[in-house]
Amino acid sequence: MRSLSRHQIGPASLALLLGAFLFVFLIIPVAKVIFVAFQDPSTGALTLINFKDFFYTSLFQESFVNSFYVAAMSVLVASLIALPLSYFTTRFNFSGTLLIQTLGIIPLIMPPFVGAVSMLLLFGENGSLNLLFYEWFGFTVPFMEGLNGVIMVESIHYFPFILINLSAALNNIDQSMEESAQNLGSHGISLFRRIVFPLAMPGYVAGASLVFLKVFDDLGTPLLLNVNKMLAPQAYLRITSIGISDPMGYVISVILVVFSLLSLWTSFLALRGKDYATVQKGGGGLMKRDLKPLEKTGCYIVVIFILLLVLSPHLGLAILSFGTVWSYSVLPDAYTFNHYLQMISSSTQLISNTLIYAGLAALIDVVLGTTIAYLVWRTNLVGRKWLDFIAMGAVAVPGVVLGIGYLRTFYEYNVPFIDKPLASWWVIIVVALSIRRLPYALRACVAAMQQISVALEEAAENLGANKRRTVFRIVVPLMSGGIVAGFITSFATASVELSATLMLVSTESDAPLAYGIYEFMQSASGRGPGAALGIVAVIIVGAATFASHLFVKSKQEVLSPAVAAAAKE
Amino acid sequence: MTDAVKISIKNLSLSFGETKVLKDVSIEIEPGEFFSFLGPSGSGKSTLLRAIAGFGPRPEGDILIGNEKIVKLPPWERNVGMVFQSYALWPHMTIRKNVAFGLEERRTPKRITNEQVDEVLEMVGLLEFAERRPSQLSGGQQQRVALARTIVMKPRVLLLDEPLSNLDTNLRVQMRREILELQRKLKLTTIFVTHDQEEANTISDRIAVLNHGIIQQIGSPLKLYDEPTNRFVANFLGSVNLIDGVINQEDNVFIFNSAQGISFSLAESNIKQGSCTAMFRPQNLKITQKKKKLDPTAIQLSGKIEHREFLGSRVRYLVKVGEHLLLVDDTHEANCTTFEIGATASLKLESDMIRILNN
Repeated sequence: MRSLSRHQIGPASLALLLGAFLFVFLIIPVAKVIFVAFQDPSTGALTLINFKDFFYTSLFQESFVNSFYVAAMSVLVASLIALPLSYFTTRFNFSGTLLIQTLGIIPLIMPPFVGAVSMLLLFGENGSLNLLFYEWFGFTVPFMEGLNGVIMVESIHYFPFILINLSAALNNIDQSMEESAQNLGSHGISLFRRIVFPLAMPGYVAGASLVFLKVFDDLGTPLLLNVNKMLAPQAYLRITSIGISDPMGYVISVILVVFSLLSLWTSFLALRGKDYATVQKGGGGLMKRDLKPLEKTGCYIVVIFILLLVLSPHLGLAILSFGTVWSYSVLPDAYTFNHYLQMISSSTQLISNTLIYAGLAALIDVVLGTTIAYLVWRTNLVGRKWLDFIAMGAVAVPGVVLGIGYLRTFYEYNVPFIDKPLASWWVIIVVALSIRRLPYALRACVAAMQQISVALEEAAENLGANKRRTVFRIVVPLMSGGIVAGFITSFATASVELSATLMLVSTESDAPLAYGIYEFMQSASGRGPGAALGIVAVIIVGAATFASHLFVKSKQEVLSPAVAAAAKE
Repeated sequence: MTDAVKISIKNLSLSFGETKVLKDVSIEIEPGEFFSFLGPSGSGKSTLLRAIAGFGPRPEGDILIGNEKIVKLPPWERNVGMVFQSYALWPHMTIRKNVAFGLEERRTPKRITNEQVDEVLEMVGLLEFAERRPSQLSGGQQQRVALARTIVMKPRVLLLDEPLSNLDTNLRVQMRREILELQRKLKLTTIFVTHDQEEANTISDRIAVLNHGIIQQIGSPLKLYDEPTNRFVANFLGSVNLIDGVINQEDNVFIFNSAQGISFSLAESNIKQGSCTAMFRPQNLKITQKKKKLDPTAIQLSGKIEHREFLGSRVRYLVKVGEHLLLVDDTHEANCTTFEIGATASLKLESDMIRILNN
């Protein structure tokens, strides 16, 4: 065995510390869930009986089919929204490109479950649109009926994943790829089918599998729409109503994890060995052409239609938060500020809890993310890739599963001094949030790290700075754009996380905002204040996203010439 | 094999928005000729090549291949083979699929497509790699695939856009020989775009030198090097001494005078008087330490050595004559004397080596 050199002791102990954290708060809880799923509830022996029970129970069969159907349909609808948008931006000199880019962000600043209720009021059976439809045409459309509602809310929320990935893939196709095909006699549909489409396919599949995973695992949206015959709600309901020892919650968790892994695997297969980024120096992007006036009008109609659709949850939520009574009418009867007053008087603790939890979680994430990025890319420690791999593995663990795992694992451990189980201490919510959002922060940090030329660090070492000084004086400042982006992404998404939170909140005083919105939305009278709280959530997330955008941009302007020059050699 | 065709470019102009990239370009390329467009980056050489293939904005003027006007045809109806600088091999297809692509677009029967793909891959020595992906091949091999993909279509002409620029030096020399061999074998009228004068010199029958979208000169490599018609061509084809001055006739002799202290009489008699530039190559100057016996046909100059560079086969001196700095190349052999910086040197120049460029 190779002994550690003096310079490796620091990194090695950091790696051990990180590994221990991930082991305790990610691996053990998930392993526990899987173990319990395979355990006979009465004897404790290993068995497949729970899975047999699961697949023989019609409720679970239906839930399984429903979850699969909803995820697949959401991918389909999200693709229908994303395809024309990415095609317009990459293919034509279209003045609405900025609008489309904005479109790609708007949905992400509101968690899907927040918009779900307002979507019911706009598109539901007795919602505004159907009331109008009935008045004008004498029929209604079941947009929000049962599973349709979940599909509609999820696809409007998650289509940006496809839009972003597909646009990037299309932008990465070098013009010469198309030109050489034309030179050999190909054009039109045939050119698209044989060259453009296959080259963009990996990007599309990567985005689509991410959407599938997110929808398949989502708990909040189906719960709020009162669609319980799906896997994640079933797992939640089993654990909260029957109890922590009921094996079905664990079986469902295993199935959720398996499908998450499968979609990640699909995405991995789609991208493996297909580094299709074919852009050459001086090239870039597909051939763009100008639009004819009629085509331009058509493009704008499509974009504006999608914009309205995408903004509808936000609009609905805003109306709901100001409306007095909104039922069986196109718009509320009257408008008021009362919901906001009511919300402020009852929700300050929810908001402050949220800021503390999400802030701490995001802080943990960037510290872990930066450290892991450094250990993986700048040291030669044995097994360093595993740190990256395990941290990224959190993507495949649905919030419900992590929540169940924490309850099961940490209920028996009392925290010293406060004499309370770890599973019901507020800190566990912070840990859960940080584990759930670690992959986002980690990817942002790794991307930032990879942009820094090693030569910049070597120069510092050559001038006498040791590793630690080099990290703090060169690496971290140069990574700051990525670190802040990672912090804000983690913060914004953690502040509206519902699934793990729902399982781990033990007292009202520990509850964060997402939990509060969920509670408010349970009753008709709570919808107004709930919507007002939802608006607060949108503002927090939106402001954070905007701040991150501004910060990254300003950092890029200052740093990129130097870093790019150094990276060139 | 079809007969080679000629390419005529007639009064071609092209703009990107407000910027004129090509200005009234006319070139006649003979059937079977290996012709190069040579120029610095931004000279319009690639734009001109792409215009022949049908890419970029539609130019004014005419391009004829054989007797057919092609300016209004879309790229896919031109049947001009083009090899891209980046090779543009499609990463999602095997080598065989890449090469078969064009034939499939033409709806060539499968059996014939397979035969022809095999044949052309054999020709470029890559048949055994047919089932690989482009990323699994080396740069040189990718280059051959790009060539194979183009020539399997039996194009009327072959257009090569800086095809060697992504290869390392040794491979470049080898590939340019292979390309030339292939071109001779196929008797294919070929246009080669490059910014490297050595590359153009070694491979071309004739070269068109471009700068700022204007043809500067067309001719064989030797002609361009020895008889450039302007300063730009003289400079671009190799190191050169260019001295501005005035020619006056005194008695029956033409005398060249520069403002900064160089003057000599010219051998030629048919010379325009007035301001001009005298041009000669560094190897035309013979350097010696001491003044030798006066040679009546040669011009003698004297100056101080300012700088010395050892280039392997020769040593290059920078010699200050009057206010001019002249480049002087001296052949290097083992044990021969080199001259020290600061020393006074005597330079001999045969007057028939001087070329007068009229401004």
